[in-house]
Amino acid sequence: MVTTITSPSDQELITAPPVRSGAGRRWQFLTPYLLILPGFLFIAGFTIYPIFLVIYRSLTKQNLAQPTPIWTGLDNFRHLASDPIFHKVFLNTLAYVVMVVPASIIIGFIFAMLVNRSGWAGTLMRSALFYPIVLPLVSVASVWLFIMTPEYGLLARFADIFGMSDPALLRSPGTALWALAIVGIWRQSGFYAIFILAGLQGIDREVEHAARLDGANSLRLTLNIRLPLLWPTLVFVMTLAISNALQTLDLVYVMTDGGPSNSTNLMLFHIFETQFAFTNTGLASALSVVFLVMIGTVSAIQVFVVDRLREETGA
Amino acid sequence: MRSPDAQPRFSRRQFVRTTTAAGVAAAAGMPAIARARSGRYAAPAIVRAQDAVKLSYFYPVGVAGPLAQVMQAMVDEFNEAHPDIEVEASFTGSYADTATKVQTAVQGGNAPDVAVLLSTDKQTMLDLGALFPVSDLENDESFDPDDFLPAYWADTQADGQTWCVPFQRSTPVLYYNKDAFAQAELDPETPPETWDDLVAASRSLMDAGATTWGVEIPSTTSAYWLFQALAIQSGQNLIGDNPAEVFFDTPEVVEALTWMVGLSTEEKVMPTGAIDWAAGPTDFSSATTGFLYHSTGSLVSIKSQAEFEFGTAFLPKNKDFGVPTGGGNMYVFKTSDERQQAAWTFVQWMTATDMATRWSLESGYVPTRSSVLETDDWKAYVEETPQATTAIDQLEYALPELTGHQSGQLQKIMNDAIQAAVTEQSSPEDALADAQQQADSILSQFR
Repeated sequence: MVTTITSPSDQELITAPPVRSGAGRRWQFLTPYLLILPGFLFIAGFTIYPIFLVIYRSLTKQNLAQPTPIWTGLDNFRHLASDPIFHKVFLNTLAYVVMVVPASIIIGFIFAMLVNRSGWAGTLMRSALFYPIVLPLVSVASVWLFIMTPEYGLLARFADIFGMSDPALLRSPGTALWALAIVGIWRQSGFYAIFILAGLQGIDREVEHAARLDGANSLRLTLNIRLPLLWPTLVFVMTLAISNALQTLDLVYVMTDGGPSNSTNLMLFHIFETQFAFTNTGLASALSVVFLVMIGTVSAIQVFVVDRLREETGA
Repeated sequence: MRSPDAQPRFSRRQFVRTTTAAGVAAAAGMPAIARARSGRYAAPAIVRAQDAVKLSYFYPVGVAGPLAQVMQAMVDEFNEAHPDIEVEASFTGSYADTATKVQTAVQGGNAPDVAVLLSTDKQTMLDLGALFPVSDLENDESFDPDDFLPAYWADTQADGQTWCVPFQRSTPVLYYNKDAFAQAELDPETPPETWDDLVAASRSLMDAGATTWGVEIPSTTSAYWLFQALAIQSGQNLIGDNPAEVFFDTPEVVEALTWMVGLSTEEKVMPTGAIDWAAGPTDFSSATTGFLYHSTGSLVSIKSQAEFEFGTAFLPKNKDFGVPTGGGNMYVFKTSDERQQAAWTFVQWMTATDMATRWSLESGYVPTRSSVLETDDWKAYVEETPQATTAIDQLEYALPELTGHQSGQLQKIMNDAIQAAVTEQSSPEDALADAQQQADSILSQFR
């Protein structure tokens, strides 16, 4: 049986008659804009509009004593400049980033190297790495709170068994932020390992083989071949890690409430408390603007640096 | 009803039909039995429930123990007894969490109908314009304001109107481990009366190895409240009559904080650092500490956990005995006439003598009404739990809790100062001077 298949040739497709009518041309012009309109409206409504609103509100005074907003210019920012609690919160936030980001990326890198193999063992280990990030953070924080509670927490009990004194991490301002950082690192490093693993597997095998032939040992291979080729991935992971660390709220909320003595009070928690517990909308907006600048800086670094690195390494 | 989870091959149509019927029945607040029936049998209930007033009710649990279950049971009973009203109770965390959620809801134009908040949240809620005065609503015949204990009723008043009703009220009390007393050759029936007695007894307990620590005064969550007792005992309450004024750095208050810090640093009878509020009852029940300053609301939970004899006593005095009152009142929020009246019916039912008795027995909170003290249930309870009377007797020395404009923020400022001092970040003088300055900068806007 013979069937004839008729299909337009490539030539016919290319020379398909162009739209001639005016209305049609207008449609052709409008279509892309119409297609992005829903997305644009969403971003405009839930990102751009709130940003302008929060900037406007940061220049007003609005709290329980002054329920209707009045224009006060830069007063809120002047207040922040001389507010010891804000200084403490700002420094805590930076300290937390420094504690969590390098550690979780280094651990993530080590994990990635360990699981960079095929077979069921690799799959199993990859799932194990991924699971802390899929658990709800509030339950994670509750479990860690139980572990770290002084006197009867798991950590205190273990210390007791080994004849050590109770570390009581959450009781002292010197250690409470470290306690949160430990949970942050535990949660995030496996997640970053997944990205780094993807980067490792994207490295051309032939480059590695060539290096091996030239006599490079594993350490050399890692330092001189893998790390440089991974650089764009690492910068991406780093910006992701910084912005995640900056946005820590749940851990503080569940584990310490910002205490003792504001030693674990981080930016987002402070904003949350200022607005929702103390109803100080003007000040909370000013804090949000500061926070926006911090997050914005990190995002800008990602956009510019990562792109440049991609071009340079050809990754 | 068959659950769709248990029946993976359940058809889509069956699933939709069953869950919809169950959902409507559940939403209508049907008793569990009716909910378990199929949609066909539940139909009359849907008709009945259509004109029921639906109320949202937020409540915290501020003490140890599974009180949320007791609360839900009481609300279920109310709903069964009132077919025309349906209360949906939401557990909303600690007192501070609940206040935050209520404020957020009010500002979002979605206020709850009823909430249990600290008596100290009254001024903040008034500043928000969120409350409806219950004295403007129609009372049940049985409602008698004079039956409430005066120390608690006082907190419900402002501008000549009543804004809330005492519900779960407390004072801090001193819990002490009687078995440990016997072990240290102290008289279990003579708890310490003064600050010095407390230190001496604490040292005896530790020396005898009866407990790891002598005393714990928690310094998170409700720390300001326990500390307020120390300040009152030293002769200065943290607040006066003006809601825009606080006394955080007077010599008496500094003396109180210096003593509290000294328990760890000088006397070494209390753990160093910020002691967690929620961990306090557990530390006491496990004989980690021999004395505990905590809410009387934790009594029932401590009783169920402690495997030793324990007593409660007045907080020891410095110049005099003294405690702040504490705990929560039920507030009715501005909604609609119909809902406000329904909310008031609910509040009166929940605070009536029988429910108030039950709530006190289940939790350890102090009875809010004198008629509770006359009930057989209460008398039997006191027979079995003599520790429960301490808080009522102590009311004689009670003053109002730390409140005022922005009370939540004032409380945090005080907590921060206490924590800064007990963790030795700053001296008691500096910490309190700081706190006074911060409080003044907030309160000056209201003067």
